[in-house]
Amino acid sequence: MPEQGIRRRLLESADGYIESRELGPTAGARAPEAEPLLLVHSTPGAAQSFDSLMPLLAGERRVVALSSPGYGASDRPPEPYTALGQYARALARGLDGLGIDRVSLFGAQTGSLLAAEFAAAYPARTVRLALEEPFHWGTPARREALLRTHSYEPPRPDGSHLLALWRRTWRHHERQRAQRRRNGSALADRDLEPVPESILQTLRVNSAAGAEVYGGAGWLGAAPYAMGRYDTWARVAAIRAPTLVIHGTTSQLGRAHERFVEVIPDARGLRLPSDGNFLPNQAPELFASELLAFLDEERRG
Amino acid sequence: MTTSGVQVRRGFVLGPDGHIEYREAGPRQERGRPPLLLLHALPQSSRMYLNHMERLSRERRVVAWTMPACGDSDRPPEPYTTLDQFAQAAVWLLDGLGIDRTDLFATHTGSAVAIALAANHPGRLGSIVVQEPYSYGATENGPARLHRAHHYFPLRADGGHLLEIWRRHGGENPGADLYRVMETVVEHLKINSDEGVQELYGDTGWEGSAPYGMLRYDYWAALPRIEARALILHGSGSPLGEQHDRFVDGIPNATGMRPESPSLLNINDDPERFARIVLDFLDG
Repeated sequence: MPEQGIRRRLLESADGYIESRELGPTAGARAPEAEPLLLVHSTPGAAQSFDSLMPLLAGERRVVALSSPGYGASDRPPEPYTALGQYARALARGLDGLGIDRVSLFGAQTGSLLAAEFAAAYPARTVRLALEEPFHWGTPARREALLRTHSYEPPRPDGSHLLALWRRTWRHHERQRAQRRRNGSALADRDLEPVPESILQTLRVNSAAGAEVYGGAGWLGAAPYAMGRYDTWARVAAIRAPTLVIHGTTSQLGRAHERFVEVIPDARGLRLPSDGNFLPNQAPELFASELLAFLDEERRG
Repeated sequence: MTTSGVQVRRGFVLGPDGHIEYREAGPRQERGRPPLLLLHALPQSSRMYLNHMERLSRERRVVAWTMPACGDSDRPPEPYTTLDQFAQAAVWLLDGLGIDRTDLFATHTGSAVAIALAANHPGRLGSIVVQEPYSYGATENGPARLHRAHHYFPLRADGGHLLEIWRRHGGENPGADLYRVMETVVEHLKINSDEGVQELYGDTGWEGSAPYGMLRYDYWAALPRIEARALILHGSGSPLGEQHDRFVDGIPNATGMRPESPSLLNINDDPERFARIVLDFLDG
C-alpha cells in the first residue's frame, strides 16, 4: 500500500515495463532547484520498499524509485540479465521515460553496487552518490553466501516453500524492529508494516521460469548473480561524482568501508549506529537528515 | 509482457481515489467493435484474465481492470461502502482510457460491480455478460457464505497465515497447478490486510470491501435501470443459480444461459467455451 501522494507509473522500455514510484515537486511553478534523487532498491525488494522513506526525503526534491527488471511490478527482461551494466542501463531508460536527465542516487544495501555502476557508466548524468552498505561480493565464498539468501523455493503441495521464504524475511525484519525500538524511532508503531510487503516482494520474484542461467536460484538470484560477478574495485574507481559511503558501526560489511572510501576518487565515509548492517528503516529520521545534508552540499557549492 | 502470443499492455489511471491498475490487449483504438471491459473476482486482479486476453482481443480492444484495493490498485483513502463507489471508479478508468462506450464481461464479485455500473451509467455500456451474480443480502445464509469466501488472514509470526491462504486456493488439492496457485496467493496477499479498516470491515479486512457493499445493495431495484443488452450466466449446478431467473426477468433486455457445470462457473475450467459464449453473445 503506497503512502498517499506517491505517483506510480509503468514506463515502457526496450525490455518491458519498468515500475516507477515518485513523490515531490516535478515541474511548473514549483520547479525544484535540487536535482531529482533516484532511490535504488536492494533485492528481492522493489521500488515500494522506499514508500515510508519518500516523505522524509521529498520536501523540495523530486524523489523517484524504479523497480529493476524482474522485481516488483517491473517485467522480467526477455533475456535474463547477467551484468550490473544491464541493470544500470534499465535505470537510465527508466529516467528517460520520466524525462529526467541528471540525478543524485542513493543505493540501499545490494542496490548500492547498482547505484555505483550507474555513476560509473553515466558520469554526465550523476550529480551525487550515496551508498549504503556497499560490499565486494565477487569471491566464490561470497557468491555462495549471496545465493543462500536468494535461492528459489519451488512450490510444494504442503505449502512449506511459503514457510521457508517467510522465515528468511522474518529474521531480517526481527533485527530491524529490535534496532528501531532501541532508537525510539517514530516509526516504531508501524513495526510490522514492512513484513507483509517484503514477503510479497519475495514471492513475486520466486520463480524459475526461463531463469536457468541463475542455476537453482531462479529469478531471486538474478541481481545477486550480476553482483557476484561485478568487477567492483575497477568500476567504482571510475566514479566521478562526490560520494558518501555509509556503513553501520557494527556492520559485518563494514570491513569494506575504508577501501570503498579510498578507491572512489571523491568519497568520504559515514558510520551510523546500527545493529549489524545499517538499514535506513532502523533510524529513518537520522538517515534522512544525513542524506539530505550530503545532497544539499551541491547547492551550497 | 507476452502471454500466449499476445502483447499485454499495463498501466495505471490516476483517479480521484488513487491509481487504478489495468491490463489491456488488442488494438489501442476501437476498430469497428466496441472495447470489452473485464471485471475480476475476489481476491484477484486483472491478472485473472491474462490467459484469456489472446482469445478475447483478436477483434477488439480488451481492458481488464483491477478493482480498487485489489492487486496493484490503490486502496481508496476513504474505504468504499457501496457498490456505487466501485462503479464510479470503473467510470474513472474508462474516462482515463478515453473509452466512451464499452461491452463488458464480469464474474463473481465483478458481477456485483457490473450491475451497479450498468444501472448507474447506462450510457456507457453496450452489451454485458454477467456471470454468477447473486444477491447475498437477500438470503438467510448469504452473508455467512460471503464471509466464508472473503475474510482477512491475520499475520502470524510463524507464517501460518501463508499456509492458510495456500490451502484456501487449493494448493494441497491433488493435481493442483502449483504455479497457478502461487500466482493467486500473491494476488491474495496484496489485499490481505486490515490496516485502517478493522472497525468498518471487521475481520474481513480489505478483502471485505466490495462484499460490504454487496450485502447492502438492492439488486432488485437496480436491475430495471439497466439498458444494456445482457446475458446472465449461472452454471447448471451453481448454488447461486436459484436467483438466475430473477436476474434475467429483472433486466429489461436480458437473456439467460445455464452452461453445464458441476458448481459455480469458472472461466479457467474451460477457457475455450468461456470465450465462445462471451464473443458469440457480443457479436450476435
